[in-house]
Amino acid sequence: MSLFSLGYLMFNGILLILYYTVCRRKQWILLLAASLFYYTLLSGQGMVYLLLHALVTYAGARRLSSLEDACRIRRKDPSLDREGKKKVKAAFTRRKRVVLWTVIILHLLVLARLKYWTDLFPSAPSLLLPLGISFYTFMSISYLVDVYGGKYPAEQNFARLLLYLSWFPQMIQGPIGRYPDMAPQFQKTHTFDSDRARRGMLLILFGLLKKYVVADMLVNEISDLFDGPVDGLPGSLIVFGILLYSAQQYADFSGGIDIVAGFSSLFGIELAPNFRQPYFSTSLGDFWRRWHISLGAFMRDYVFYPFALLKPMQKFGKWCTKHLGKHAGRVLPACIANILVFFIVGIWHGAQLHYVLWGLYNGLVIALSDLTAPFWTGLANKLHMNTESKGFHVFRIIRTFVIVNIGWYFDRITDFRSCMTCLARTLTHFDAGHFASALVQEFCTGSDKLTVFGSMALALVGCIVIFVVSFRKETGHDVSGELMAGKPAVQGVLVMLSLMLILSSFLFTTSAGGFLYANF
Amino acid sequence: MDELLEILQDVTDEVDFKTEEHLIDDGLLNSFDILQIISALDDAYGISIPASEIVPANFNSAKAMLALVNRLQQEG
Repeated sequence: MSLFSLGYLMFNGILLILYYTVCRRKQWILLLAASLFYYTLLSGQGMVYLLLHALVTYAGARRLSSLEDACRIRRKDPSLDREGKKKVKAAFTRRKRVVLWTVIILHLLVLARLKYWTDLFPSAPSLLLPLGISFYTFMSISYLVDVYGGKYPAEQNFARLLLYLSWFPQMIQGPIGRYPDMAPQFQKTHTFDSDRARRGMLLILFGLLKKYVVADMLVNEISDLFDGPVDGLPGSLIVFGILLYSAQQYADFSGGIDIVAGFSSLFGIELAPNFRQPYFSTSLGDFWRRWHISLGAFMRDYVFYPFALLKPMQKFGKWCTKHLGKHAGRVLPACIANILVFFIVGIWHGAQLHYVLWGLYNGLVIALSDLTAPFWTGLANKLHMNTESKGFHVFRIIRTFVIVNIGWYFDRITDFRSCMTCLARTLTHFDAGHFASALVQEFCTGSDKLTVFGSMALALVGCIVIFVVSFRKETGHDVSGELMAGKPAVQGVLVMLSLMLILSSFLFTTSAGGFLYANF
Repeated sequence: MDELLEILQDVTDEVDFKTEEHLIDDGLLNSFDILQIISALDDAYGISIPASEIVPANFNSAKAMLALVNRLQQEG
């Protein structure tokens, strides 16, 4: 039952009727039952992993909470002086740390065994990767670390924790929801809100448009280019292919997120935001605060800060300040933490070398940009450049877009040698004169021209629509709100046009692809 | 408070810590600043600020940071 099947639509329809009528008093139980049913249908034996995983997280967090309570009680002992209280806290912190790390390592080992084992040892028997395991593992880790840090007590009800980890719209490709954001929403009794429902449906429609009209229209062309031999491709066609991938990747992932966020909001459950017009970013760091936001936030809170605040890293920062100057002391420890974060992000995408390189590329570019920031500021001042002007803002956006697209080479071209060949040919054999003939030769072998160019024309229309909507959002407009407040005739025409675009895509679709991020 | 303000101004003098109440929410402090502030506070007050305390409520103003320092000192 994929996100764009009639079955999924009916499943949600029936659920919504039950949710707002007969199950109003126990809405969260209905959502849990629906989530488990959906997951069993999709992942079968993966359900065993999910249940065991949730059980371990539940038990681990309860233990952390009970240790925290015991520590608090012991520290209230009037016979203890300040030093004694300190010792009690240190002893309990050690015990809590053992529990935390045991559970986290266990979860990561299971993830590593299921996700990476076959990549590392091709002859080893492969196990089916349970759907969404990365996402619920990250959600568990965030929950456990927060309980360990005393941000909130452990959930007492296993079923409620299970719902947090298995909420069906976000199960497949995220976002990585946080427990304190999600749990209160599940506990609340929701009444039907027509405005919220209309917003949700507009979001679903926009997500479907992204997925069908752009992502699915480009997938075959990109595959034709990069999944075969690349030695003879002109650089201009490679750049074109990467630009197509740039559109496909964004439309696929953000489209999928729009769809699930839309469905979730129909139930009154708002998911964490995952995209904020990433191609309008003014730096690579900014891009990663706008693309897969929930993953970036997870990495910031649970990898970047904990690592950068380690005593050796703090000492290193002081050493840098003393020997290399204030700026180096300020940014170098953070740069190293950033490189680690992106290395992990790369590995998370897959154990293959190209993902590791992609992660490192991002980490190194951000580190280099932070380290050299004073030089660029000085240069801009010397050249009397107005860095606050609109023109400079546009320049920054284009520069970031180019940097991001260089990164997509490593992400999309899975074979390392092919990736290097493509990068080299982009620089040395751009060959714009042969672009058109090479394009026809590459894309039209085995497919008729009408299908190829029809799908690409449709994708272009889709990209224009996405750009216009994104531009308005970027300039502070509430696009859905404005549409809903507009004339019904305009609303009707826009919705009909969107539906027509989606339906037109069926003329050119050769395969109903899944979502890229459902594989993680 | 004066001592804390001096420490904060030493980390970055581009922010008016005396008056700002939304240092994190308004993006006036970035991750470099946060790391430097934590390191300076750890040294000055003999505390250890864990990553779990890095939430906007604790770093939005000098007053909030002072409250965090006092709390961690009391907790030992």
